[in-house]
Amino acid sequence: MNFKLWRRLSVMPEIDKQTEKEIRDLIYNYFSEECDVETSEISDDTDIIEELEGDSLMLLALLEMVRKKYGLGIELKTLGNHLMKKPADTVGQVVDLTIAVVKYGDDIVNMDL
Amino acid sequence: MTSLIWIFNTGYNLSGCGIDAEKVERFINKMNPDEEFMPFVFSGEERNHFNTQNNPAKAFCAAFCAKEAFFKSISEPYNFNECEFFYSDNNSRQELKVNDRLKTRYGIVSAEVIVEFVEYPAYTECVAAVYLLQEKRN
Repeated sequence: MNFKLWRRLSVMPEIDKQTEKEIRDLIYNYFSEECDVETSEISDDTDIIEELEGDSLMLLALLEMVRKKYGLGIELKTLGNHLMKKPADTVGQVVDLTIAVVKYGDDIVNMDL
Repeated sequence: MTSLIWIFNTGYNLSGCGIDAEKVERFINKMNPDEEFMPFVFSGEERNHFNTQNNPAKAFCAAFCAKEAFFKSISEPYNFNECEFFYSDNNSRQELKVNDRLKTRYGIVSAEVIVEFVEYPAYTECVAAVYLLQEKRN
């Protein structure tokens, strides 16, 4: 096995830009539908609770949707522990978190994100 | 006042309480008969039980509220599968079944749940309150 292949296999998994955009669009569309707002009215800085009246049920349903779409097995408690360290209050933070979950799964709790 | 009566009658200490409220309609909109509903929140036994109730959406909503209220009362990140709540229409005072890890960690003897449904013109709201009881210390 050459060094490049070994390094590729030993570093953290990557997801391509297409998948990152797909995740972003999925989350924007989800909040647009759940909160009855146009996607153009949502930005990465939009506060989920203050501006969209989001709540835990909404976030849990989003998590379930992402888990099904990407075949993830991440435990809810793992995610909860990560959120205690790094809360996700805005849409942009939820996008970043979701991308991290897809990339790292349960290892997210060990990541310095 | 009701909770104080419980404490005096049960002989336990009240160690914590939590509350949560959700609209039942949100659960109706999310339920799909062809899919397991929120498997990371509800166990298979819970889902089977709720689907036998007169109004399954109310049962799911009540259980969700009870679990959220419970995790608020212990201030721990949600791991909904560590407890179960078999809500029934005909029982206003019910108990949340908590797993051994949480019982031991928080000294919980019992997690009592009160569920109420409030009817508004446009929707029905479920409110659940959880009272944590622990052994009385002299």
